[in-house]
Amino acid sequence: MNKAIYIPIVFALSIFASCTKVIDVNIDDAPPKVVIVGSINNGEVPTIKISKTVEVDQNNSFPPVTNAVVTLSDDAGNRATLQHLGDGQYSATNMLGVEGRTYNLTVTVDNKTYTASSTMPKLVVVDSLTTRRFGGFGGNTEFVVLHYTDPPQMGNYYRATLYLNDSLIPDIFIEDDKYINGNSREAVLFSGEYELVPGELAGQKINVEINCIDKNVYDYFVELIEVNGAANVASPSNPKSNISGGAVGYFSAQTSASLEKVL
Amino acid sequence: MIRNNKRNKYFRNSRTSRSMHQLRILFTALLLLCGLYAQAQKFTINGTIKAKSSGEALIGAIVKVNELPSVGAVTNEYGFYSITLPEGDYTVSVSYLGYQVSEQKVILSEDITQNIALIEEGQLLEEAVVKSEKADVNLSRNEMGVMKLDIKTANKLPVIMGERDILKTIQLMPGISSAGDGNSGFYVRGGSADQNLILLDEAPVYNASHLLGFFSTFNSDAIKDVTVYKGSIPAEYGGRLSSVLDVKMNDGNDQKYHVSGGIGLISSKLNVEGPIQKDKSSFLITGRRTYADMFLKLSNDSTLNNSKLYFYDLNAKVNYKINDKNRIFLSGYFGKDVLGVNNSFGFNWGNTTATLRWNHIVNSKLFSNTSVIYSNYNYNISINGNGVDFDIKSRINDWNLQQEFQYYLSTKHTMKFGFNTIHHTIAPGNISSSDNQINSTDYKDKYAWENAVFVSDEWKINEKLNLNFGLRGSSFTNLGAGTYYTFNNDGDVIDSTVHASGEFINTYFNIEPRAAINYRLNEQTSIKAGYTRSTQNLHLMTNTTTSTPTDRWIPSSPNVKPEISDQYSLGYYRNFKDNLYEFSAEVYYKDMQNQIDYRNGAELTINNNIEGDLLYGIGRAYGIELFFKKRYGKFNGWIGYTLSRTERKVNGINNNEWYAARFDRTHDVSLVGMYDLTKRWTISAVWVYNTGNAVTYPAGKYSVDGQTYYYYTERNGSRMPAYHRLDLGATYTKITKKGRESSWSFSVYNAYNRYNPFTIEFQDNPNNPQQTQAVQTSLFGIVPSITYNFKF
Repeated sequence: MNKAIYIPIVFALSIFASCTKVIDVNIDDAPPKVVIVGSINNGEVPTIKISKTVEVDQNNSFPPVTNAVVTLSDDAGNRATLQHLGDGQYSATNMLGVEGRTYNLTVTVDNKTYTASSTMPKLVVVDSLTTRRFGGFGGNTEFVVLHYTDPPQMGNYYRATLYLNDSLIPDIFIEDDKYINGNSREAVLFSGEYELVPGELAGQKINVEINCIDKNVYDYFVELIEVNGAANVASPSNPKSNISGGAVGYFSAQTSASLEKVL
Repeated sequence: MIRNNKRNKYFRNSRTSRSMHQLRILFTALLLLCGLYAQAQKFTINGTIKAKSSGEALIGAIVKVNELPSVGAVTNEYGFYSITLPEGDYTVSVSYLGYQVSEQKVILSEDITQNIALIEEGQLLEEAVVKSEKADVNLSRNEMGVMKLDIKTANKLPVIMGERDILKTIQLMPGISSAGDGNSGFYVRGGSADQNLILLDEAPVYNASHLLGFFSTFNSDAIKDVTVYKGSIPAEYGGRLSSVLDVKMNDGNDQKYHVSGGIGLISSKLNVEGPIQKDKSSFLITGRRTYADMFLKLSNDSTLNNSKLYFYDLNAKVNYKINDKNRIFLSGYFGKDVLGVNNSFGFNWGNTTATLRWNHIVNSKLFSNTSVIYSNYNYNISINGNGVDFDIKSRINDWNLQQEFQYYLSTKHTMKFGFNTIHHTIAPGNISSSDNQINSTDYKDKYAWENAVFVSDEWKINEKLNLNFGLRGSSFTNLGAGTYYTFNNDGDVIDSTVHASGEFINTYFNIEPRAAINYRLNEQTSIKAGYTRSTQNLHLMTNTTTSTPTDRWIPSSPNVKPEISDQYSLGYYRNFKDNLYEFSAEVYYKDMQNQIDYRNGAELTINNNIEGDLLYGIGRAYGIELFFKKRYGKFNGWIGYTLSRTERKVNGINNNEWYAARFDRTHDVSLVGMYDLTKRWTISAVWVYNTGNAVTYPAGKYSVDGQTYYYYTERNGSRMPAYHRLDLGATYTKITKKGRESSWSFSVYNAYNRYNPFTIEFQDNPNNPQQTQAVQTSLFGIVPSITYNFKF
């Protein structure tokens, strides 16, 4: 290539190539807050994990809360006290999730009580999963596609959790039916967190867990993605949790179904 | 069509006669209001001041009467002046920066018209001329916080990638702060970026940036005059809260053809102007296009070489002088940005504006300007391919009729009055798709009608005391058809009403008083005070730190109240050494009501119920601005310093307590210097420093489903590292004997390669996932550039 052309090219590219570096910042740490992450799936027992926040410059090991009093009730009159199984995990064997029921969670830690309510939606079956190739700025890669049919009535919310060769892809995939209501849908799990190189797919194992969630939980994830997903967000703040009382996290009554495919 | 008549000399027909009658009634009322009376045996001298070489009307030229040192006038935005004096013999002198002073003897025994063409000075004489003119306009002008940008100065300063940018240059003035790298937005005295009224030949420009904010929409080759009002805003301007940036395009040379242009690393531009009919009509066309993406075509990667990233813009203007009393102008701007990836993703956006203007000199004391203005901003996103196929479109457009009269009542009073009526159409983001898995939306256009009447008087009470006071009455009406919603505290719809086409749904009225007083202590010193109330009925919703093309304008409505601001300011102005140096200190306090923010997670692009996601609050801003300038000579330049505080208090944010706005800048410093090294070489340097943005850092972290998230407490409680940068420039100019001019401009942006923060992100350390690190992203390191400009 002619040098005279080459120089401006290098130049033009350097213009838009941004530079990053790790910096030291001063942080005012807040006192530890209670973190509750819980769910009850259709036909399954509840699982509630309770921990606390740590300071930003500490290790990512979050102290479990082992002395909480946790109860769960539903609108059919069932009620259970959850037992601590260790490591901040709580469950009960005498309560299984049922579609359409509303569940009320009460957690008491150190004399403070936190409550949450969530209604389990009806199950929507995801028929199959495929992969599809996309080209873009970052080159070519394949993404996982879920095939399902959204029910005719508005107000369905979906969450997918993706595992590639049994390891969790750290990304949240959610979708509502605002623009797709009632349609046969091909939902692409776009993410920068995984790569399926065309031509090197054979033998790769894909697992997807699909949850139907309620609106409050969906809204929680929308905010969680927004405040945590992009550095360009003007003012990050805590997502609005469906747990009242000042705890961080969410409680979801949800349906769960899994698909597996080996390419 | 034009017929003379005893009572009204020009342009008379039944319709103008009726409106003249109404005007006369209005005048009478105004005269009574001001407590004025007519005096016998006075006559008026009026006319237009223009540049002899180009025929361009000179804005702000100073007209003085040598025999009466206290009497003077400044030409208006169309070069018109009018002075009323007792009968007598006078010498009228006219001066304008860079032009020879013209002196004309007049015998005033009747109303006379004196049009004057000024001759441009050679470079060598420049210093002498400037000294001889009335260089203390900064002291004598009533308004406070007004900045006029000299295009010649702007062209000497170093710029990023060789793109001269008036929006970047005004940010070097105290009180106007930059939104940072990669962002042409600016903040004036604590106002947000959408609170600036940006006018191009009177047409509002809704998105003044190109290439996602890297460049402004203004091509400086087409620009004649740039004025920024940040303190007392004259009553004829309204609709935005914190400032007015009034940009006027060149009219086009009506004497000779000229072609000028520039070739830069990322863009080229061409400007053609000339007479259509000498002394009567002229045209101007200026175009610019970037070609950074041409390099993408050379790539072997099929994704890259099928990608597009460019913008172009076109300014055009024609004007026609019907006779001495009537002149019409038609000007337009068209700009577009195109971003495309591999034919599967397309995104384009742009502004279109058009202004048809009629200048009419009703009589020697009354100047009229009538304009019909169109402004449009739209964007289209299309995603097509791989089984995904949809378009998103949004648009805002305005039709605007504006009438302004300038009435040169006497040597003591100059009045302005008029009205403005705007019809807004706002098309919210709509999604359309031929793909049967995506349902198209059909959100209806929203309509609004905005009206204003204004009157102001510049009153020279005596030689030392000047008062400028005005009143603007404004209204904003939501028009049908449309469905309007009521929301509960959580933002959920609880009720809706459907309105028929043309129905008046809701109207807000506001009275906006404006006042400025100037007391001239002595030849070198003046003090001024001002008060401005302004309102805003179109609000920009943006959820990122930079301006993006999908930022959304929403109108005031039953839920969204007009934003209101009250600003109080006080200033001290002092010139030294025969006006060689000027110094000013201004303090301001600004109180803002009905400021708008939104809930977390609000969907701004496609959302018919966006009002449910909005939160409302108040704001306050205060500060002191110091400015010291050496105005001419081989070396000139300025130092600007601002110490300020900008805060917001919004229900539902930060526990309803006050917090610093993101763009709150405690300290803001600009140093600007230009030096004429030789006849051909000019060098320049700019250094800026400001306190880092107020941002929200996490106060803790936790885990949800195996991922680390951050816990936040106080909104904007932390600071990014400070921003500072040095830019250097050099220009070599060669002028041939035939008057052909060519120049090479070299600039180095960010000369000491400072990595200024653009964003700061917290993430798990990839080398030690147990630990968190803060990663700063910077947009620009050192950026050298070179541009070739020519003119013949």
